[in-house]
Amino acid sequence: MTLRTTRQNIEVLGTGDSILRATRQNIEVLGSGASSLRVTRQMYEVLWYDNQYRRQTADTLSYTEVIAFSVDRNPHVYDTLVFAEFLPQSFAVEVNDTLTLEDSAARAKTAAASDTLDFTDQTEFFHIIQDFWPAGDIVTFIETVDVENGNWRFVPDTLVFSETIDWQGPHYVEINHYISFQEQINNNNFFTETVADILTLVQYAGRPYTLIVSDSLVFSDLGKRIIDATDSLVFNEIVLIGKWAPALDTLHFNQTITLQGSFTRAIIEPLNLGQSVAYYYINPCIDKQYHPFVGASDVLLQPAAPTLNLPITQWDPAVTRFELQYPAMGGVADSITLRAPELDSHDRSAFNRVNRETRGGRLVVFADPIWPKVTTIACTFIGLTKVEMLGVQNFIHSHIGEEIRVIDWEGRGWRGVVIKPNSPATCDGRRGWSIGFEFEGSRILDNDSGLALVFSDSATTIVHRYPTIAEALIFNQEALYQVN
Amino acid sequence: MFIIAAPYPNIQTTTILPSPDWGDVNEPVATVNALRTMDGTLFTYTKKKDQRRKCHWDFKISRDKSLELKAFITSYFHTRVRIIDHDSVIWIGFLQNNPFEFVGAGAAQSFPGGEVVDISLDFEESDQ
Repeated sequence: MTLRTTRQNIEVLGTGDSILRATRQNIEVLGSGASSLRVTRQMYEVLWYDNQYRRQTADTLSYTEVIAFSVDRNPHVYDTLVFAEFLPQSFAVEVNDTLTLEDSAARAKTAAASDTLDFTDQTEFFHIIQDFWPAGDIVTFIETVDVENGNWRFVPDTLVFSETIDWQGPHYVEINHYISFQEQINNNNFFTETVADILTLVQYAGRPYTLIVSDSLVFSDLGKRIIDATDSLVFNEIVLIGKWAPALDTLHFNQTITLQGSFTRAIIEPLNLGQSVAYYYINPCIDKQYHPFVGASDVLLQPAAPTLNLPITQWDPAVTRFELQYPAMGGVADSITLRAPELDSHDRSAFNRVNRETRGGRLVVFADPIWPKVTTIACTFIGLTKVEMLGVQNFIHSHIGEEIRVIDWEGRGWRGVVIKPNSPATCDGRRGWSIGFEFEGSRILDNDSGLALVFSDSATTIVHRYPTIAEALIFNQEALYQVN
Repeated sequence: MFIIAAPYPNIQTTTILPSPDWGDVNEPVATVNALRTMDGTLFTYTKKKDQRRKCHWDFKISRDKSLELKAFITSYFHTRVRIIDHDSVIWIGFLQNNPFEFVGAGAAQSFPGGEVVDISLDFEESDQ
């Protein structure tokens, strides 16, 4: 029997009492006539009683298991649910599986609340332009444990890849776990595109007594018969076409330590504790010799103790008696030499101090060591000739107010000014004059160490020689031709 | 023997002088201000000043010892000193001279330094 039905159109009308009524069916069948059915086009149109085309297929299935116990048990609640939607038509627009598994384990000490989810998406035969929706799997783990009191340790999100291959022969097998981020956009348009792979590890411990918050990216390779165990963290950015496209690899390590630190503190003794040791011993000449007994002291801000050595250069009467020199430092431009002064010379040491008495009558004295100390020498010369007397007056008059140098009768050097230039000269007798001299200044330490400025110049000349290297390599070839 | 040590109380340096000359002075520093009213009533305003005292000593020392004393004064002119005088009385206070005047009194061949130097020390107790 050869069936050749070229077109079939069926319209069925129902009664409208919520029972399916197929209103229109159009079948076109082209057969070859040799028991082979070839259905080339079939269209079903199903009209619901509200007279709308049904283009969506939705399965809604809800499982709810609740097991309540009055005592702590170890319940096991699981849902197994499979959605399968298949639209063979080429105009399929969207295929979605939405699955929500909610497991709640209340008052659980050892109970496990787990979700097992398997997505298998396959998209094919898309021919409708601008309606391309890719197949995507979105796995979101959200665990929230509200605990009133204790007995919980951690809330893990575990994404486990486990592959097992039974080794059956001399073949190279390979097992890989991939967390692969691969985005690729092929676009010939001039739109801004963003391709990003983000792997974010965020741990937050809200409890103040949580000790460990860590992100670990661990590479562990273990092989029994492999040669190389390699861990690679590779950043590859390749810009194939672009006007401006920097390729950056950025690896940020951020460590933050809060309320943990090592503080180095200087230890200061505020009490200013110190010790000092003093001593002395009595011998028959101790009240005449220069012999200060200086002990030890580690008290802060103590005055400097006197020197243990006699602080003068003893005079040599055969060389110098009393000499006035100008200028005070450097080479001598003007000078006058006198005999040693008379006895009854005065050596005055004046200091700046502040004396105060407290209300209770206690005496307090203060002086800063850096305040100036003034030493004055007052002496009298007698038996001078008139020429010597005039020489002294002329010297003082010539350098009045200027700093001069004095080499005293003990060989000590002084630097200062004459503070009484109007000292009268008195004629004590025939060819005998006397004159007073008053000088204020300070000792030149390490007296007579030359008192001259020493200039030391050194000039170094570096001579660069540039020799000429001439190498001549002369080849002398001589060819003898002999013509026979 | 006259022993001066400073700085008090952390004494480090001690200088020994010969006993002072005659004529040393010891005077209280207390003062009295006597006032009379119109009817002749006497009022006195006193400052006992903690019963402190002033002292004055004259020394005749060798030139070298004068240099030692000058170095001592230069170091401790502003600190308290402890003095054990020729009567073994201990004094705590300040040297009050300003200036300290060393006077070359005469030649002394046998003395260290070849001279005799006169120096006067004015001393005032800081507290009792």
